[in-house]
Amino acid sequence: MIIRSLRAENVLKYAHLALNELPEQGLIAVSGYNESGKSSIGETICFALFGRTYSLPPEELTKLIRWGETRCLVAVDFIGGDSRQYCVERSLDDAGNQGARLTADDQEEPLAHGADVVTAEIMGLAGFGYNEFIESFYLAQREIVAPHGHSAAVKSMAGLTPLEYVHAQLGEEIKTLTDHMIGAERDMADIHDDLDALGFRPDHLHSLWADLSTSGRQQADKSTRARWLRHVSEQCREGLQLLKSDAAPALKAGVNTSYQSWDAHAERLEASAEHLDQHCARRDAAASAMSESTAALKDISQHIRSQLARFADLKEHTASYRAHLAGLLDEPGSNQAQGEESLPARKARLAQQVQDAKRSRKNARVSTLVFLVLAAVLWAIWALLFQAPNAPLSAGLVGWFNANIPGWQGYGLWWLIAAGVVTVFFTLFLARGLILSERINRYQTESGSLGRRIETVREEAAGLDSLETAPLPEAVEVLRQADDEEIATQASEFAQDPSVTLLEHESLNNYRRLIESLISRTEHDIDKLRGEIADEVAELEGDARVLEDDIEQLHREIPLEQGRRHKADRLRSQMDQLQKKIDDNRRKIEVRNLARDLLDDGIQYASRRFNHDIRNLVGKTLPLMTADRYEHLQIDEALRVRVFSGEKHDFLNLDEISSGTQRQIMLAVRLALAQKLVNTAVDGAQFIILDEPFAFFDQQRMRNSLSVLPQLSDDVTQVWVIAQEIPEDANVDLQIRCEHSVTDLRMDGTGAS
Amino acid sequence: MSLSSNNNPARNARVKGPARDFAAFSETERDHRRNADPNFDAALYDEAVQLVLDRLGAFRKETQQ
Repeated sequence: MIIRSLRAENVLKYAHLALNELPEQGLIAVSGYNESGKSSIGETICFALFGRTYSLPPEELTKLIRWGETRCLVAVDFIGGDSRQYCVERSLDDAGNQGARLTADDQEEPLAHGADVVTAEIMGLAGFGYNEFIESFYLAQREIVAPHGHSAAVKSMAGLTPLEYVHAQLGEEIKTLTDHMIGAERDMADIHDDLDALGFRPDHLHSLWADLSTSGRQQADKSTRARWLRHVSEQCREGLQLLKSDAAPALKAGVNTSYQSWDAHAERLEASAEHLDQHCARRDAAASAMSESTAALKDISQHIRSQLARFADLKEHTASYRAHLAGLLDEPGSNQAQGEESLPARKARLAQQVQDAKRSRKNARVSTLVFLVLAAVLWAIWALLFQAPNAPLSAGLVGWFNANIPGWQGYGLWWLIAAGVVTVFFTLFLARGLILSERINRYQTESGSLGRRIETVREEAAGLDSLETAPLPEAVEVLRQADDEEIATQASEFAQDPSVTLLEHESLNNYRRLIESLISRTEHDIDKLRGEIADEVAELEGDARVLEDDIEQLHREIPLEQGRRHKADRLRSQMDQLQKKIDDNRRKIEVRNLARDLLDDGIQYASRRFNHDIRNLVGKTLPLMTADRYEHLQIDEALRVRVFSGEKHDFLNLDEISSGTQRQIMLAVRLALAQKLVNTAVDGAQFIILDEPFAFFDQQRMRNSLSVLPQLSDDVTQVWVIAQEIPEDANVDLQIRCEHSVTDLRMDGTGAS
Repeated sequence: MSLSSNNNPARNARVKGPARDFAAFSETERDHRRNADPNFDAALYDEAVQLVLDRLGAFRKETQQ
């Protein structure tokens, strides 16, 4: 930043102040006696840039306004580090109200409005703030001492401020994070206590569910078994009724009972016994006694059925025989054997033969009669004509022959032959008639026999057909009488078999008594069984009720346990979140501690490097300003200075050297700080204001310093030096002379007023 | 003779100076610590460095406003 011009109204002693076309580089000397307004120029520049001055505290800034005035105005044109030309204008009234505006030459609109905004913008353009300014580029009128190493400005110049800021910020964060972590750990402990107080056991809910499942299953099993047992009991009762009902026909059956009825009775008896056995005997050992009685019933029924089966076998064996009879009787649907003629057919055929024979016999008889008559006639005629032609009886006949058949006498032999032949025919027909009569008689006899045979066969067939429905003894007798030796033999064996008990009245009575006894025993067993079932059902229902109570209790407990689990889960989730937060905080603290450790080292490193740079910079400046009498400095972290005296070959504290030398050394340090600030924060050329830097300097030292100042830095090119007196032979680029009585100072770069 | 440094990187990035200097320091320090500590946690170190650099950047933005 280079000051190009300065304008002010009513600032300190000046009613008007105008310094225009100031040289951009070189030495600008401001001289004058005490209270001539020299320092006011530097104060005006400082106020223009930062809205405050070194000599006036902020609360007394209105003292900047010229006595008797209510408002002051300041304007400074300067060249920024970006080579643009700016103008900052600032005003202040006696109420302390400050206004400011920043403009750029190449831009119509102001860059900033308002005191604070303009100050901030100036800081951005300059690269430094007020504190850095007064520690480096503005050496205000005061006792020049070494800047404090821990001052904000020096730290800022050393680049420590951001590091310390971040260091402190991280420290605060660590403290906050630690507080948060402690709070989280406290919360964690509270939650842990809540969790302990909750008494939640992770496996308890599972156990309750398992108990509920088991109890539910057991309750269902017991209820199911109870229902099943009641069902069994009812079935036993019904089965007993059915047994009684089914046994009743068997008990009433006798020798007149047919095979078909016996079979039905036995089947029903066995089926009802089986039914009873299946439905009642399934109930474990309690039904064992009943099972014995039903088994006995089944044995009886099976014995009956075995007898019936044997009879059925017999009956089956009659099938072919019955078919044979059917064939003999030519019943519809029967299969007549090839070449074998049925009895009715044979009878019909015989009848037909009788008819035919009778018709033939009739014809034979007619023929016999005809030939008899004819033979008699022939024989009579022959006898009359040829044996007794003369007989009276022959006269008429001979006469007729003579009249009608001449020469009839010559046919006597032939007539005889003819009579003989006719007689033969007569005889033949007669014999035939006799033979036919004989045949007819034989046919008729045979037909009668055949008719009886047919009747017998029919009766036999009817008997066979009624084997199932006829009383069993009669049916057996039918078989015994069958015209089939094998069947008859087997039927006889069946009837005579002592194990066959269905044919005799006494054995049947024994059966009845046995069945009645077994039914009575079964009834007793079933009553006993139903009683046991009732007891077991009562026990099962009692158990089921207990289990139901348990289930209801579990149904009440499970939601409560679920609530505990939900709460425990929520607490655990909170603990997890807290633990995550604690871990996160711990990690952040760890990172921040390391960062602070690094910042500590970095600050130390930067501080040492800053001191090193300052020492080097002072080491270059000091010989110039002390005519090579002092060359080396020791500067500690607090910027305490010791100087090496070539004459004494030792480092000396500042209080061991003269005041003038002390001021030279401190000036060198300040200039080094200024150069350091330029190096680190400032772009472009920079001005510096040194207000009374040469107090306690002798003339020679002042000349040396004035000659050296413009050469000290390539960056600090515009050097303002404020002093009571500037040696006339000093090489200054602009001399500004302040007079005690002058309140209106106007001057341009040529020094013209 | 001049006080100015002709080879001053801060001149080109003045406001980034502290962050840049710290980054350079931390890089050197990183090697030093890694060589000195067999249990050196590089991730933690890098995270700490990045945190400082982020905060320095934020500080720079704040002071510029």
